[in-house]
Amino acid sequence: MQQAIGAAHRETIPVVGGRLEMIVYSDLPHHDSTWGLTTGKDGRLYIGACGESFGGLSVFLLRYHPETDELEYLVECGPAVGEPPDNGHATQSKIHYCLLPGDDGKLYCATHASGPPWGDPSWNPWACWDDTVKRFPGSHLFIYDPKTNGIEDLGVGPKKEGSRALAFDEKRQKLYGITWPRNHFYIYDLAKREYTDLGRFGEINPQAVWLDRDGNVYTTDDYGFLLKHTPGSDDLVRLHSQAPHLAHRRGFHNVPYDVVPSPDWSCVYGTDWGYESYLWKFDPHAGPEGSLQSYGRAWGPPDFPTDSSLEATQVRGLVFGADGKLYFTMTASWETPRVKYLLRFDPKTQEREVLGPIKFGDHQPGAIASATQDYYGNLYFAGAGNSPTRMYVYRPDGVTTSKKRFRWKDIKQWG
Amino acid sequence: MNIVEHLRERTWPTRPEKVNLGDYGVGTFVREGHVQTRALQRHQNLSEPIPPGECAITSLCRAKGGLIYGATSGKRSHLFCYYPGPGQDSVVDLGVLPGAKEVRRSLVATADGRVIGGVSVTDESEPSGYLFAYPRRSKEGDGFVERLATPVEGEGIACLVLDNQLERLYGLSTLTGTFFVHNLEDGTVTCRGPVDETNTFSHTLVLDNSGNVYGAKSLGELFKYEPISECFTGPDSGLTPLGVRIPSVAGRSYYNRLDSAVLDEQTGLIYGGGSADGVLFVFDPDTDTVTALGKAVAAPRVRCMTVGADGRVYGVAGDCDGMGHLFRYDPEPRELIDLGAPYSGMDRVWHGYEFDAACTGEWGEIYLGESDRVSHLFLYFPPVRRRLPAA
Repeated sequence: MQQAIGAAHRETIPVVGGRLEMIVYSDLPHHDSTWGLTTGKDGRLYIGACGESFGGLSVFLLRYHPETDELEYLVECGPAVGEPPDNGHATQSKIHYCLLPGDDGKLYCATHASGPPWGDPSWNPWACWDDTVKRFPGSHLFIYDPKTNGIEDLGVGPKKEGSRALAFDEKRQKLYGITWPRNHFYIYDLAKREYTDLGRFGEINPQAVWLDRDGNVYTTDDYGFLLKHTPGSDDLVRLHSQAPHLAHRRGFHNVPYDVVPSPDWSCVYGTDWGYESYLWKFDPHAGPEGSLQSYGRAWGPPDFPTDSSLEATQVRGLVFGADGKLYFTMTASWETPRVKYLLRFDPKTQEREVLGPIKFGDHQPGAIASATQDYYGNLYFAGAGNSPTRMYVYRPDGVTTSKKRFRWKDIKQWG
Repeated sequence: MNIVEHLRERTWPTRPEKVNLGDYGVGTFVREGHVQTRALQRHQNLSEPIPPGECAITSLCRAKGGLIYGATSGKRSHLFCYYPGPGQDSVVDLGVLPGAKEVRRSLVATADGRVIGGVSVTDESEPSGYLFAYPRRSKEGDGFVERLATPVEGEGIACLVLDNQLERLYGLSTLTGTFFVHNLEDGTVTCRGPVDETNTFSHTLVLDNSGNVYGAKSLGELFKYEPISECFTGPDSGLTPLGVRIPSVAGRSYYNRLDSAVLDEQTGLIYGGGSADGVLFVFDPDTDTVTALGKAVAAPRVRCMTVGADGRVYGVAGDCDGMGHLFRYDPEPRELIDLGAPYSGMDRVWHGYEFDAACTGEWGEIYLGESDRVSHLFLYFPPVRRRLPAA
């Protein structure tokens, strides 16, 4: 089926230094979350529109054109990998942090689970593991080619499991992934078409797996200790670097929520999926095991209580702007309105600046997932938890399509 | 028609109304009783855990004083001890077994407090699996275990059982299924020959209350070894096929192995599970009869089991690389139930998926040996039996 420009509802609000636009994918009325969002080598934004709280939906790939402001509906992924959403199984409902651009212009992807089978209100992977019908068949690894609008299905990688996060080492032609719900680390060798499961490495599902410039691969264990995989090895080695945590805690659940490269790619900045909501920097080249530096709580009073709810503050959507500042979103329980805010952090001065609440009339995002930038300097934040699903675009003052502020090398190849 | 035109004409699924999901959510996990984990390290994190990739618990036993011993499999094999007592509640890594990569179904405790094991798979430095003993007061370092014997050259030890009265170990070798007897008193090893000419034997043995040993040869047919046969001379190995098979789905005996088995010392009955389809059964050594008890879960395998202090049988059913479920068989109402997947909140938050060993503690607590890349000792505390309501 041919791709086409579709409908996109839009609203705009002013924020510090620019404006924030909401772009709703109106032709997908039931899809409710966008997790995977990236910038292709062609400079277009690629979007995984997911449907996870409604039985019988499969993920769609969409493309946004910064130059023309058009939203293009490309392909429905489930049928393209031989798994239509009405086949009775838990659906190929999502592309989580597994939508990665290649230097060849293609996208390297893995599907994810949690969407119920057609007609079902909910889905529990533990209850359906041995159910030959209701179970999720597994995460399909595939390559999308924008030139042909075609999908090359590489088959199921992790059987019965989804892929939570993915990184792409294009030089070595390897994909590195994390499964859900069992938390296995896997390698897919694109040249050999070979899948290798290195086994379980934890309980809490990290939302990021990332690379350094030497091709080493990182994620963390349940307590935020960095795990490193060296290419060619068959193991994950625990480092002494640990994501920072409050003094009275041991760091449980401080797996990474989001990790982005610094503008010069010398290190990465990250945040936890824990109760801390800290920002940190990891320099993999400082010493034999690298060095991790804490910037403390991403925003807010330093003594704001650690909320008993894990998802209370949600520091997410990390992306560097053309001004060299780290943009992110966060929910503030101490602010009015108590919604998500767009912020930026200056690594040089460590100053935080609130750009404004993310609130469009009565609408506020259920969650912000990943983020990316276009070549001109606009920043894109994936929205989750609202139907239809959508994204939010920060358009800094002075940004036009006549001047590029980013290049292909600035785009990360992990989700 | 392009994709947008298609989307605008598409019939989308509808959200079902009046849904009753029952126990769909938390009901998947063990709710009767209480599940905990212990990382394989000293309490208060005083030591590093046994490393990932070499911590899969594949043998467990209870020794004198209620101490729980375990052996792991992976890149290396560790022997560890769990001290359940007050103020301890801690796992101590006793050391790496020299040349060993796997110790499976091969850890037993003698009446005098020694722990004896058998190495199932070795690394390149060790040509054969060997029997070892861990004395209660061991020195540390390389010699922390004493080598007892190498029962079958060039092979590992698939399983071990101990007759504490006769002070004998019985075991099978991994490749040829050679049945061997090790006399703990004089240190001799006697090989009684392979239990099966096709090498499709089961890697499990179990003792009855009379000191007879049972295992399964090809097609899941049970055999019996009677120690009294050692009195006879001649070609007889003492291994007697019983002519009864452990149960499986029809036509699948070829795939079926005795996956795990345990003696209920009080009733004298032996409980077992088949690998092919996960059918639980009871074997009566007095009548040589097998009775199927059913399947706890949809998946094959019954990977470990133990008899609790309450007379119920506890075990983990489910396939490798899957999601194991804890089950319970209660002989009184003859009820087999799936208790759910083990999910612990302390000392680690952890779903347990893979288990290959079980034993019962001194106070009736059930120990389950997790056998994943990262593994823990699971403790399951069965619920107390409630009194009947007053009449």
